[in-house]
Amino acid sequence: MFKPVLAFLERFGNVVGRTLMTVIYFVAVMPVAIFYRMLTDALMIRKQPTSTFVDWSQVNETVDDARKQD
Amino acid sequence: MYILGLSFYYHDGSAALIKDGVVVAAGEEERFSRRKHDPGFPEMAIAFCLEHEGITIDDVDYVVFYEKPFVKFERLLLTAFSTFPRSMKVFRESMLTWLQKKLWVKSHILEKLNIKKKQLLFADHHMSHAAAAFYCSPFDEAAVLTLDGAGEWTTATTSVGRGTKLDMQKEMRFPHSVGLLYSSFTAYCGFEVNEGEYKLMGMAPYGEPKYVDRIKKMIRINDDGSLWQDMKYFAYHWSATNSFTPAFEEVMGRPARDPALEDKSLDPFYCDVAMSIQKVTEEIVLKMADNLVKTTGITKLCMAGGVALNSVANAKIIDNTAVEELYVQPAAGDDGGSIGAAMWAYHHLLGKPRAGPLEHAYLGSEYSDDQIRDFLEANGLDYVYISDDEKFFDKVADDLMAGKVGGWFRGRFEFGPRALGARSIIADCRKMEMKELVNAKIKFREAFRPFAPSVLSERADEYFEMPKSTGEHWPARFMLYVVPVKEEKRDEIPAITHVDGSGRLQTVLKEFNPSYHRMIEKFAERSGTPVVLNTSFNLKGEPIVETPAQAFNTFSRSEMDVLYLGNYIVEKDAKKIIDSTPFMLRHEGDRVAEMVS
Repeated sequence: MFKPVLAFLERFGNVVGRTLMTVIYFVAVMPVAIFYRMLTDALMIRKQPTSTFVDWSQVNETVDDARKQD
Repeated sequence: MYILGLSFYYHDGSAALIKDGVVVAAGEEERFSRRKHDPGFPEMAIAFCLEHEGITIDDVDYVVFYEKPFVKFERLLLTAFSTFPRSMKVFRESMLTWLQKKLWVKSHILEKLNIKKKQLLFADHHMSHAAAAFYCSPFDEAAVLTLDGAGEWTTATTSVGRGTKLDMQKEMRFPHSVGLLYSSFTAYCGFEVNEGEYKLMGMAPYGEPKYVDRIKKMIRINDDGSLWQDMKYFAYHWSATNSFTPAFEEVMGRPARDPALEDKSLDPFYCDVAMSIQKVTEEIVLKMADNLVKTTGITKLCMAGGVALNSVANAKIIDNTAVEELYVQPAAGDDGGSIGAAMWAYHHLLGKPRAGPLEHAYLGSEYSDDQIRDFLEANGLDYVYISDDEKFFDKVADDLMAGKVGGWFRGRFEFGPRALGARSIIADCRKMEMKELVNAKIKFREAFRPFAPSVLSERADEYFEMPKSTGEHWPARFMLYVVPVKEEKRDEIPAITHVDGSGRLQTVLKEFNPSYHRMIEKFAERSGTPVVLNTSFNLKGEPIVETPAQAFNTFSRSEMDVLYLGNYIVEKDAKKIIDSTPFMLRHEGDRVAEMVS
């Protein structure tokens, strides 16, 4: 009896989660995205550079740097 | 000093333990969990590594995760912004996965391993690849090239390794990616991404590079080998299910091949497409390698990342660029990220000295003769035990001569995707029918897929056109070279000679796998041919076997004739299924949303 309840809750959670993400996408992501798309080309989609190699920019040279997840 | 490297939550989760700079144990989680490409937390692989060394997690100084989760998360968000509103589905799917699992990597590791926060470090994804390639190599100074689908932002890097330091120089960034380009064509040709790339590579020799021009309408390859993709043809940066758009199909001139066909047809068009994308990939890799050598002046090259498993391209690097020596790590994909992360922390971060190259891939678990006997007797299986190694190898060689196909289970399993004579299915490569037999009745896989030859290292030159390296052929010992079989030898070893006359050879070195080497020597004494057919000991969709019980079950489920477990021999009339041993086949690859996140 417990198993079907769990299965239902899991499905229900998935639906709620997906609905919530869709709402977030249109409420939170949309305003930023509209300007972001207009002002930047972060994915290098519009420009065709002569090289897509860019300088390595990550800084991860010390144990303290390495403790960070970003 | 012990350092544990971990890679998980993408695909091919793994753990690797290094002691004072030497890899003492490593294994993919899939070998233990029995789920192919298991991306989960590598709990069992970690337990194996610690147990093998006879230590506990308290003895480990650092645990290093192979990428920076927050940087990858940032990429997903900015990609969703950049591709609004098409990115709705991929945003929804990937955010759910990230919120449930991937954002909590740090807490998951701390909680499961019960270590202190200060012991947990994070390497960059491509730094892990570069470190795995360079620090495992025999070179004190080398240029390093990494290429894969996508790490955090990075899809390819160039760097220079000197002593204990790795100087990262350039990177190529998502969505422009050689790995994802190749995966898009894998999907177009009807195979699963992150699973069917080998099939595409195996299919290519059946075709001609007729569509290189069409592919080049969708991409630009710069002089330095860097790649720019016209993203109107690709969808993996915004779609949860497709890696290319209808415009891609228009350029290619035909719709995508139906995935339901699997291996049921070898349509020449898609074979030509496979060969065309192979040629484009080679052009990119060779240009990158050549440019790296020219800009650094260093002729020794190390490579890692999933694209470094393209063994056709690897062999061409030596003959077609200024590279003189090449090292490719045996687990060049994300599984090897665990070794790289640990090595990076030990050498680059802590400045500890190098301890010599990774000479072999036998880093997994092993089972003693006593353990094998216990298994056989507990299950009431008939067996023959030959304690004398020489007599045992005589028997194996006689079986191969008689046309038997055998399961070879001996020593520590191999780290990486290739079976290198520890968990292998072996057969006589002089018999053409072996290829069909092993594909159809033993592996249950696509008829066009080739088999690899294991050749005695000292006699490889007699049978294969080896690239003109000034040093040792390191990729060959890890089965990462596809080279032409010498024309005069092709009729002698037809079962491992692919349709274009090539073979993906493994050179067997006596000092690192003496048993396998001796067995091949015995076979050569009888047949005159120092080569055997070698394929991984698994069925299609099954991880390579790890325990004697798994080996026995896989043997029982196939039409193999004989099983060699250590020095024990089990004949086919003993076959039965041991139900208590987990068995799972997984044929699907990753979804596109998983491929990029």
